[in-house]
Amino acid sequence: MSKNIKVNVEYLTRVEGHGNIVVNVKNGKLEECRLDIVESPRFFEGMLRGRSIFEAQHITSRICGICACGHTLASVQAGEDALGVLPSEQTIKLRKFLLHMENMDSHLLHIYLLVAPDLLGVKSFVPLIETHNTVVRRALRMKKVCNDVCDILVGRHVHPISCIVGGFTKLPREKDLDRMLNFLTGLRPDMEATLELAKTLKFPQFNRETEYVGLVNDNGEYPMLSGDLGSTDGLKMSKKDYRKLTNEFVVSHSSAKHTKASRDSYAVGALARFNLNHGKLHPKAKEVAKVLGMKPTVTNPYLNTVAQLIECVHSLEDSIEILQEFKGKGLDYSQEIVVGLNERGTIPVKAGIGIGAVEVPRGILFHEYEIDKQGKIVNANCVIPTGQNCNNIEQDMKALVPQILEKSQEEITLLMEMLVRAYDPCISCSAHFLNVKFVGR
Amino acid sequence: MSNLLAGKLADLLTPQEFSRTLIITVGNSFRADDGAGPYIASALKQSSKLFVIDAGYTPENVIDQAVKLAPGVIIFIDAADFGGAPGELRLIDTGHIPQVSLSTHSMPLPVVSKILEEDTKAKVYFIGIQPKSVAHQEGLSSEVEASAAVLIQQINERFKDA
Repeated sequence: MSKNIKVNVEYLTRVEGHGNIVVNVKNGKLEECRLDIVESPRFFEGMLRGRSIFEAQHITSRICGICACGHTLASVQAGEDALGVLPSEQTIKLRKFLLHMENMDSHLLHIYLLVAPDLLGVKSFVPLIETHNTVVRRALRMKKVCNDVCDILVGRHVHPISCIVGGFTKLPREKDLDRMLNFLTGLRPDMEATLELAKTLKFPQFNRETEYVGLVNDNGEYPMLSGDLGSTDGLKMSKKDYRKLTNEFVVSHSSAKHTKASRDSYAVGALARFNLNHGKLHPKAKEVAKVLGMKPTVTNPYLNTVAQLIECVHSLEDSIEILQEFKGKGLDYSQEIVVGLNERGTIPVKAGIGIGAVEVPRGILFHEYEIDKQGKIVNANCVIPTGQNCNNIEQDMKALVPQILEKSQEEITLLMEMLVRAYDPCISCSAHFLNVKFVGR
Repeated sequence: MSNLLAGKLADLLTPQEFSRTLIITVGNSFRADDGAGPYIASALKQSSKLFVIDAGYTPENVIDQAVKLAPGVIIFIDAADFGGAPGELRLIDTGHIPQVSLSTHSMPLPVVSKILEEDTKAKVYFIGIQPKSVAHQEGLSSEVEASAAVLIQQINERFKDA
């Protein structure tokens, strides 16, 4: 094939990020294929230096407006690890519930607002109000439930207030449990309708074997908040060794570091979790996986969206069970804590290093803090999922482009856009994610 | 005051035609002039004719609340970059909202307005305020604050109970 293609995909989003897709094919040979991340460094690790470990989660939750709860949980976990604080079983369950709500909220946003327009043949979410009115309304209803539950649970629907090192400053009361339970059981019909919609969607066919990375454990729980690090290539290590897994390295075309583990790249996120831990999903989620034809190991990155829907069902059902358990046995309100910046020494402080590893919507998130004997952060390191996926997206692009050279520019553009979107990169307003510009074809 | 307030807006804010008007403000107070909407909401006085909801950066989450109020008119107030002078107020056509809305909400306002139109049968309007800055800071620019004050005074005066 003697085709020449030069693709410059430049996109402009809001302040959260910028990136470009660059593809250059000369005489049918792929010469360049990159995902440029040109986002400015944000210096959160620098901002953390000198700050109290007890305020770290309020700072790091601002890394992301979508994954604010995930960053909070990773931050709190790292803080507790450094201080040697062991959270109670009740605290762990409430945190798990919080993470479920954020994952569901984020996944629904991705499924309905970012992916559905491509699959339903429209340019963005806006035209769907005319053509798929009930779908839009359902999306809004479902997202609102997640927001409202987060609001009740942690005081705000983003940037949680009450989730801190040691536990929660405010625990939900009986009426709060009732409200949340009503919200979530009321969500079931909409979740079923989402599944019906998903059955009708056709995803692009593209497979590439890669290494899938996430939390793993030896018990029956679908690991989101705790466990070791594992991969489909057989890696298994403690979270303390996360740097041996991520192996971050710098590439000249990206302000996000790339990562790799056993091979050229690895993937994190819903599909990785599904591939690693599908047997531990809630039975209803497993049933949905079966209905949607998802059988591990799934190597089509476009199906990350389907894995997200499966996780939505898991999160919904597991959350309802957690709430029902709390309704049955009640909450121990003596565990409500007032820590502030630990001015009263409620929590003993010591120097140390702590690591948080949490499965947030886009994959495993690491926070590592070194603190001094006053509890001030000396060093911090945050490795976010989208950063870990960048290299894998690029490898996918390199494998995909030669397979679709016969397609039109418009088709290639759409497939490339959809591939990047499939990873649900954490960039605000990604509904307008890629403004494609072909040059020299 | 801009021509908008002198003309169309004056008519828009005449409550006699409608029994209930709902103002929904949108914006982020931590993004300088993007906080114009919440700033205005905090100063508006609700009355038997006027209801106010500050939707912050999630207007989609106030749909149910808005529908329950059964308004005859809904007016969104939001920072909007339409290339005007800082503080300028403009009645914005619904077709232009996605291009000019500056608020940090992720749900496009036209989607929310369409649902509200369908569910309430209300007439929906957008008032855009040209920001001077949407940097990460609190407080409005003097230009936007001055326009907001005029808008607040106008609305409170026109909708006050007898």
